[in-house]
Amino acid sequence: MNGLERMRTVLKGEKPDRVPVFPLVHYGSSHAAGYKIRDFSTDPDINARCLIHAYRECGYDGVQPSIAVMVEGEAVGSRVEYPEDNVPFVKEIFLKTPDVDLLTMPEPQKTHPLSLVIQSTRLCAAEIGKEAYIVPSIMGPLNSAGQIRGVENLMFDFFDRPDFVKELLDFTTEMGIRYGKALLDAGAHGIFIGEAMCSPSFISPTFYRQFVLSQQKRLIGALLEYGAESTILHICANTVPIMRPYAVETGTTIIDLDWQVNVAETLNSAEMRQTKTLVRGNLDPANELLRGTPRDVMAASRKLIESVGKNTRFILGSGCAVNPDSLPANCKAMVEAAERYGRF
Amino acid sequence: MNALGEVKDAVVSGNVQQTLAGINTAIATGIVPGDIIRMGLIAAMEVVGDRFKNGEFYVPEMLIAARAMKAGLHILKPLMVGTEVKSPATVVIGTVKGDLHDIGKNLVSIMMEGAGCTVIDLGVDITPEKFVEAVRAYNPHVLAMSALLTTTMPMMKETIAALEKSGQRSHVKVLVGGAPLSQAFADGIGADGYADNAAEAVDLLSIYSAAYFS
Repeated sequence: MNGLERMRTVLKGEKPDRVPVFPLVHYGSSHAAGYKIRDFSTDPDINARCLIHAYRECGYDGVQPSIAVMVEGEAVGSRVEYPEDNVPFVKEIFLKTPDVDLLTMPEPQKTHPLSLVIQSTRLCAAEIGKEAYIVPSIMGPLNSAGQIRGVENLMFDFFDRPDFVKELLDFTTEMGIRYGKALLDAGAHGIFIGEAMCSPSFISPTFYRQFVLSQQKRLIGALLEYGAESTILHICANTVPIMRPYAVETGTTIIDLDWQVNVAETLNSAEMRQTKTLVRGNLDPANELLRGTPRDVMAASRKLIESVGKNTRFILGSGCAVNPDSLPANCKAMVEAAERYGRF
Repeated sequence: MNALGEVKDAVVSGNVQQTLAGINTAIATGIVPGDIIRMGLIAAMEVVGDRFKNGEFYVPEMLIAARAMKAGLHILKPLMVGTEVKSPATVVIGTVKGDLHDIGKNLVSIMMEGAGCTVIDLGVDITPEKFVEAVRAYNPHVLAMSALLTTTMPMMKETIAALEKSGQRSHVKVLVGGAPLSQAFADGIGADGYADNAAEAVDLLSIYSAAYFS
């Protein structure tokens, strides 16, 4: 089976040849291909080239075209800085005044850097779309809002002006729907949605339900209806306190668990038994994938695979975004572990 | 309820107006500013820390409590002229070079200030050289560093190396924190302590206070 076949097989609930392997690799692909992170972040050809190179060299099953969390922020007008060899970031937020009328909805094909990711997706789909699972990344409603309004400002806004927060998230959800559709038109099989800010290490489960859940449902529903084969919803850190809304109520096809959560327990949980949601996870990107040797990664991957047992709902993942130094050796080790210990 | 209790409750619930009203009442009834800080504001931040550890408070709740505390400190500090509240520790804090994430760092600053410490917040994107300069200039008990990216974590080790090179490593306790970090990482780079969150960071200070600070 190739990666595309393998992913489509588990999405149907059927047995693959081995556990699919799909680490979260964006800028992590840059160094192995001989580029700096700024090259990856500013040139769609180089962006695609890095992702394809990493996929071929490591042998995992899918690619995630993206740049970093600042994409939607920049599209709306936040000022972004691009360090030569580090992750680009918002230097100055656009929405200093809490008024959504100041926002203009971007046209994804015509607005940088949404258009860069769309072009990279198109290139990846053209070259490896028949063998690899193409899942570009977008930011979810809350994460996008954070890059436009400022994360700390938004934290205060929850209390000071909740109506504004709802309007802002209405806007970012609509933007996500349009951007996601453009990525699907470019050849994506699925859409990854990054929502680190929803983590219980950040906001309460109450606020998640009150402000974000319905927006995520709307976004995911719209993309699946438009033709996305799947969505991968990513919320960092320990998501056990929000597992029911996250895994069951959002409607996402796949949840993407960080290293803090026990995957086997999650798959056996009451919440997960009510749904067909798949789980991707969950090595530790800093301690295992970055600081570990390939042997350490093999051992950690094996432990994960064996803890889950032969479960078609499990995809071996990296927990969170992979550092450039984790490629190629440590990502290759993940694949080797799946080949050796993850056969069905 | 007495005025100090009102101030404390107002800070915990993040209500700036009630905090200021409570402080004015307390002053009018003759309570000295130092006691209002200690038993109103600092006591409130202890409750905030406990609630965070218990999973009742999250980042937004801590931020609004801190905002109320700072509003209270703003009117009380000028009234403190001629008197002193002893600071248990001086802390220099910053996010490392190449990293602009600051919410975690800000929360740690707030909680340490809330515990009565003197905190010098250098901000974000701080080079090892700037950290070393600040340690030299402020002579803190503790240097606290934050990073949120696996690509900027290495700067913590470089900063510790720079401290060693400048001969100041043994003069200061180094605490580290941030989402991708762990105790193992902190041990590996030679840090003195690692905290998973802002409330734990303040707890670490207490440990150091007993054993380290005279």
